[in-house]
Amino acid sequence: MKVFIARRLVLVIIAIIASTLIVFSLSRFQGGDPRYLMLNVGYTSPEIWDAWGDRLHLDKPLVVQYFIWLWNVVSKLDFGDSIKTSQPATEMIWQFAPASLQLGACAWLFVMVTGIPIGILSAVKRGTVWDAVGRTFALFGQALPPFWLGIMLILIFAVNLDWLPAGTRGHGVEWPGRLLYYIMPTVTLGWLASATVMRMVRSSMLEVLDSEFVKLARAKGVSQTSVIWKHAFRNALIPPLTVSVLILAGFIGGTVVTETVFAWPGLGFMVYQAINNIDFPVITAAVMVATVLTVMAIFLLDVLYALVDPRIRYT
Amino acid sequence: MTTEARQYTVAELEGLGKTTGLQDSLYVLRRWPLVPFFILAVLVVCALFAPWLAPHDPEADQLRAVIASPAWYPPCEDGQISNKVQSCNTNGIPLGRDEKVYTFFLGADQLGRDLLSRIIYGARISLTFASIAIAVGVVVGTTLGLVAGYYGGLVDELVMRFTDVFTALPYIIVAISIVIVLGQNFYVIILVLALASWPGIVRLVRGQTLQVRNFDYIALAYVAGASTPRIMLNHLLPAVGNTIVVAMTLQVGSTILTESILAFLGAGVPPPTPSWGADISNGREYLGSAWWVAFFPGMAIFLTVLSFNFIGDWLRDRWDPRLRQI
Repeated sequence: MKVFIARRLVLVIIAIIASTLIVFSLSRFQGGDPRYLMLNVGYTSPEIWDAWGDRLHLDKPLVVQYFIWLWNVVSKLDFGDSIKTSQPATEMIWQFAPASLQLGACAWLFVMVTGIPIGILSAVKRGTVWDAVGRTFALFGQALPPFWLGIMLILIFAVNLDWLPAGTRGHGVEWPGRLLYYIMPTVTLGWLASATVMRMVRSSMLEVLDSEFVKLARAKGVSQTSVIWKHAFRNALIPPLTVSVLILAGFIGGTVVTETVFAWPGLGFMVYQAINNIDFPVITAAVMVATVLTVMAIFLLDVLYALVDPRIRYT
Repeated sequence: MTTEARQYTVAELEGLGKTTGLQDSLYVLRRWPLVPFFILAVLVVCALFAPWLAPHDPEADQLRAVIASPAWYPPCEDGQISNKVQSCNTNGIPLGRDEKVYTFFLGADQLGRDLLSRIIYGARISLTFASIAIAVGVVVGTTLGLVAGYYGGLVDELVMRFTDVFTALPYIIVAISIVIVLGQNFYVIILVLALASWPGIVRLVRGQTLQVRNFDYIALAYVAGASTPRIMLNHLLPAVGNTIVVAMTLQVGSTILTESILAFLGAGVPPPTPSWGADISNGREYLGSAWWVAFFPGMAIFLTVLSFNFIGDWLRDRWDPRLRQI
């Protein structure tokens, strides 16, 4: 077991190092000199130009630059200062993370509360109207462009019906009422993921319901409720749960589209503005946060499975 | 206690197997995704013959017609226009009163460009991007998948870890960064879209190859002296061909979605080239006064992606039952 965890950890570290390489090379793409992205060439004096060069260690070879950057990141979590606001990128991450965390948690709850029951209903009542409704829910979720869904929700529920507020996070509004501000972003963010989870629940439920042990349970005279919940549901839940953990990691890492449409001050919103300002320290910090979250989620899942499921060999 | 068997008359028995015309057509609709095929046919025709089909120049501004409403929309002010085919702008002024009547079947955008024409030309952009990007993704993905699955061991480990890293990166952020850094042009966008499509294909092809590799005919081919490229191209590739085609079809929808997301976020083809995602982004500013600017391009994306997903599902059920779980 220890060997297994150690092996997985090595893989995690390799994955993270590889992603730092990709991210770093991205920031050094334009002629290898990030100053062309950061400074306005025509309006910068040679002294300032050289000062930035020293600060970014541009006189050293690219490999050395990379290791200096990596060392700063690893030892001090220092991704550099934002070019736009001169604020340390790490500080910005802390500032914008709570909003993403809240929205991500809400959307994840929405995914679980809709995706799993609809999937089960669809599988148990296969071929009926319920199934058709459930599958339509999934098909729509997978085909609706999320940004368009958000805009149309705003058009219908905020502009025309005036039922839900949009455009802010409800700062200063008392708590129960503040939930209203979360409804549209949550649906926009969650529908696609919910469709994915629903389809997985449905297909794995169908598979389990078709298996021998369920047939045996039925033959013994176990009631339908008990078959569905005690026998089938528990066994069918593993694949969708795996996906849902990855979905959560993705949500928390910031979702550019939803946060941009709803002007939600989270990591996605932050990074979108950083991209438009070509603010590489902030972009790299955000990309690394999202990547590390995902990689760690995969790692935890792997270990958890190995612990729970004896059939998985420790290789 | 006996139960009496129900007695059927001859007429009833004959009627048992019969279905009504409605049931028949419903059955056909379920077996063959006719509606999605129809939508896609319209789309392909639009993309191929856009210059002949589009009623207006999609890039021509018409400042008198800024956010003009659709032609069939209720007239702006009562009695102001008698001709229903005319469009009017939001101020209620009928267009082209002076010399020329402009008709915008789906309305016009913030520069007075005809939305229908832009959607028709947009089909071109979307389909071109999707097909080229997927072709690139499939070639790269299939090659890597075959190599990883056939050789196994260290090669497999390397390829799969590389794929994992790509999956773990936050795609949208990296994609927009690449487009901003390298420039908004056709090849960069193709590259970025292809980046999204290959990891899934690598996994599928590798999984299938791992199974097929152990079949006897592969061993026989090896014994008969077939070279490795020959085994891969002539023996393994046909065996995973169905999987690839199904995966490709399922991928088209998500690639079109991704392209529209990039365009919406300003990392698509530069304006004024018509692009569905960018048009929605324009329409966002005019939601209160002109819903049609954002609505119709979005419907185009939605219907297109829906149709491709439908056909993908249908193909998978027919050709590749093993994949049903996805």
